[in-house]
Amino acid sequence: MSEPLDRTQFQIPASREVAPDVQPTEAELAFAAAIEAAVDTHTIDPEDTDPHRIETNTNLGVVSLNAQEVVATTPPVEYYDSTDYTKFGQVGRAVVEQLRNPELAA
Amino acid sequence: MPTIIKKALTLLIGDDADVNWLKLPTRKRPLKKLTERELLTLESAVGAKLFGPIPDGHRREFFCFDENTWIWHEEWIDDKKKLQTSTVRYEINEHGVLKVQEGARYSYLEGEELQNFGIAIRMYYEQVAREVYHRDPATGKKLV
Repeated sequence: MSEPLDRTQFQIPASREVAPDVQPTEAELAFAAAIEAAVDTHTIDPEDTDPHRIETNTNLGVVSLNAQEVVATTPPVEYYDSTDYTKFGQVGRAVVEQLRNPELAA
Repeated sequence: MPTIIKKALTLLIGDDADVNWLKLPTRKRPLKKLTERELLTLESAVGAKLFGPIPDGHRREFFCFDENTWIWHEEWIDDKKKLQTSTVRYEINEHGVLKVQEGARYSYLEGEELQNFGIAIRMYYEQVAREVYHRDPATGKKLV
């Protein structure tokens, strides 16, 4: 197994305004490259058989729902205060009411 | 049919000829209203991609079930050719985000896992808004 990742390099930057067609900044590209390089060198302990581990590698970065694994991501747009879990319900409500059933939001 | 083409045809073949056969058929493709289940399936296809490439032989679902419930489900065939499944339900309530797993295992998300859950569902909202509903997640307006 390779060296464990230094999580401090994956601090999530401050929120940013993003338009649909926005191009990533050089800093964001560098950030994503750092993530990819780190993930490429990361190996999973073969003895770790936790079926609930979700390790991810997307064009936005990497997301894991398991705190024991790689955590590195470029941030989504901060529509909500992610430090306040009570706001998480707003995301689901936005999906259900604004997207899935827009008449509910009217 | 554009008037100029009709006039040209009239000049060529006369005005008593029936040119209706040249008309393009009317487009009858009203948007089919998808059921909520179908929308969930479309959303889940986007949600599953949030977590990177799906290993061969795996099927993954991640979707918003309702405003306070998120589902992660994965199926795969193990070494003994037996189907394995794992389902996690994340329930948002006034106390936090309750993680419900098989075997009556319950725990509230904490620390990084809680933070990552928040990131994942916001990425879900953004990508589903754009890819499924073709809307700008910030404004809700239709993308052109």
